[in-house]
Amino acid sequence: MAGNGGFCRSFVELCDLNDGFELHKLLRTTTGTHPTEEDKKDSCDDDIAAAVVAAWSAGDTPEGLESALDALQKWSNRYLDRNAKVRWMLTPMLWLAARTRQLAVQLDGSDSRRYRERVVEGALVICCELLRLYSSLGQASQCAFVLTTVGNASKNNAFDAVKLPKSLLVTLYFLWGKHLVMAGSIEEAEDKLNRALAICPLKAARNRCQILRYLIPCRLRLGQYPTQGLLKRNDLQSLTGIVAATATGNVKRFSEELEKQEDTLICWGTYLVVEKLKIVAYRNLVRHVYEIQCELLEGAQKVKQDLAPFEQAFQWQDDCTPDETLCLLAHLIYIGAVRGYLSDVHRKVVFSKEMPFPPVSSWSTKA
Amino acid sequence: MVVGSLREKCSAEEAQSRQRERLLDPLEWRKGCSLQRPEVDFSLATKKYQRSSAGKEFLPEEVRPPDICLETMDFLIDSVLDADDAQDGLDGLFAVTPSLPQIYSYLHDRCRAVRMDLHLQQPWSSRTQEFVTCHEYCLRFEALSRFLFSQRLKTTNAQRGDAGATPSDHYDERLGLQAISQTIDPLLAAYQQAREEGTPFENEPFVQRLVILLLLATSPDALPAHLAALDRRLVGHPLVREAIEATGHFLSGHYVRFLRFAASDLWASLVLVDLADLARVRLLWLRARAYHKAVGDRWPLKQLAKLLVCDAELLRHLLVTYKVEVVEEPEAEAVLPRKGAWEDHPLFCEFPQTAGPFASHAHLWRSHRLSVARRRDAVKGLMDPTEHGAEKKGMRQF
Repeated sequence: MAGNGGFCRSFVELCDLNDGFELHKLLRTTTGTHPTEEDKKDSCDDDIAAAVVAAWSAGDTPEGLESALDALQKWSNRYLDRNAKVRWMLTPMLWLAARTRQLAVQLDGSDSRRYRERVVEGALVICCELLRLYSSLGQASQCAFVLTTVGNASKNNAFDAVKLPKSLLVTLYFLWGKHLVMAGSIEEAEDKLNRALAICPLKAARNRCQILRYLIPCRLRLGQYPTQGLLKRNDLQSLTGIVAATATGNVKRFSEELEKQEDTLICWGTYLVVEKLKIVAYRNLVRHVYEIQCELLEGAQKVKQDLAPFEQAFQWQDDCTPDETLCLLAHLIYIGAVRGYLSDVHRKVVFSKEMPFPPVSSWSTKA
Repeated sequence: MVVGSLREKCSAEEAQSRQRERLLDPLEWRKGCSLQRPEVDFSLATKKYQRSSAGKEFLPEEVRPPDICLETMDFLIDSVLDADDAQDGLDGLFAVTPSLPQIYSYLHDRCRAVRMDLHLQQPWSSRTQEFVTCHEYCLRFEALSRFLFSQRLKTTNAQRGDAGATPSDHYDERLGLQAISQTIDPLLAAYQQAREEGTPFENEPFVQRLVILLLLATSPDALPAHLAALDRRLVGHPLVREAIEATGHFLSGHYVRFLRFAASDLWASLVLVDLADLARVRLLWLRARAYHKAVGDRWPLKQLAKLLVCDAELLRHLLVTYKVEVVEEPEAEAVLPRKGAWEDHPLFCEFPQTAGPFASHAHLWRSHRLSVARRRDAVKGLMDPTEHGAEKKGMRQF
């Protein structure tokens, strides 16, 4: 109902009187009706009234939704800016908020498939920004909700990844992979980051470097070692020491390199992932000791080796006491990095005759 | 901008109002007053937490400035925290001798009121030492309470008939963690602001260390993002570095080193007590799994106790819980079950995800002698680990 003199005038009068109840009634008259010529001609000095009239005129359309949102936002700002006597503003706010929601639900329901197809790219852009925002706010747990929705949409064929712009895909897969790295899901992270790297153009060196920062630790955990050339080309020489130490089982060097790179790795968010590579280094150390002992021993002694050389190696490499060494060996046996068993009473470690050291990829996710 | 002008722990108006409405806490009663019609002791009354609501305005005369907030916190910690111990030289201060849960409930509310007063006076209040000190006290208090009231302590003490924390509904771990979170956020923001202005607060490294340990104990998934957001100068501080390395040790399965860290200072012990128990159980499980079951094996208890960083009594309790036989002659040894005797044995089931019915709180209580006085010292920061201690220890010396 536009009272005497048009909607806008009535709106302004009721605001001056701080009459929230009557204002709510006035706003309700715009639902399911069309503005009269008088309402449209009424000059609107008040920007909120103008936005409501615009929404009213546009009806149940995306333009109407936009105007309704505009009105709600401005009303909210006005509410927050006022220092006193704001309670009367709540009732109109209820209507403005409800109207916006109802319009959105209505528009979403009608012609949804075409609408959805049109907006899926925009939705993914917003998802990427949300992921960045949550990361910067330190609310990594919120990323899971966004990624679950994206994952479900992908499974339900709501969008075809092949048809999406590559820049969007690289960003999405990179952020997804990064989140998975931080969550410790190494295999899934490796998959997403691989996809990001595959799509990322060769000339986008900085982006490729960023992807590899997270991808290389994942690959190392899965037993795949990068070449020196790859590290050098992508400005990741800082990882050279860690890669070499892991591959050769040089636990001492691994600890030194980890300490040296600690700041950088923490800043990247990969410290805890890289730290877990130590178990790979331990496994390689055990394998080296085993191989050296095999050369010195004969027959059945090759598989039934004394604990002392392992204790010495661990003590030399990582200041481990004999008990610590036993615990580490037990851990390696449990995760499947070493196949065998221990005997404290007999001071022996007995290795399996077949494949005493299974490939890293077969047990790395258990570590 | 609000500048508080209330120069007392509690305004006379509020105290009298609560007296009329019978909303006084027993810790605010005047000694000797009738229990049916309690009267307020103005020297004991402290401002109660009031939830803010839309439209509510806080007047400056209702808000305490930072220095009075700190005075209030000092009073709460020095006089109220240990009020359950009548022998602690506080005879005559309170009308009743409260239980520990009652003290927690009271302090939790009054600390929240202090934080509310400080929050209302932001942004200027967050630049003050008083703001930071009050929040540090609150954080230590809630972290200590989390330990004191953990379920297992209640169960243990109830089973043993000890005096001490009794089962109560005054502590909810979820609310306790919420209080910790509500304390940490403004505290870290104040630290960051001070660092950016070139005047860092002295206790920041300890608090950052405590936050890392709390995250490890309660939300390890949030750790990578939290660590990534740390200032690089902090990452290099010995106290923070130690905590980061300890998280790496636990998450990568290096439980021996983790246990040594967890036993290195009081706060590590208190915050990580559940994870330390889990680490002990997992170590026992891993070693049992690595042995050939046809042979069976024996471990000297002394050696095992050193490995698991626990005393003999606690170790025996652990072994009994996991049905491991102990023989006393010629020296005390744990005996692993042989093949044929180990089906469904607890040591050979799934990899432990919890410590199970294994009590170490009582042990910790005794071993640290967390007496009433030390409770006070702990909250006031007198038992915080120091940078020099961390440098001297170094993880590699273990």
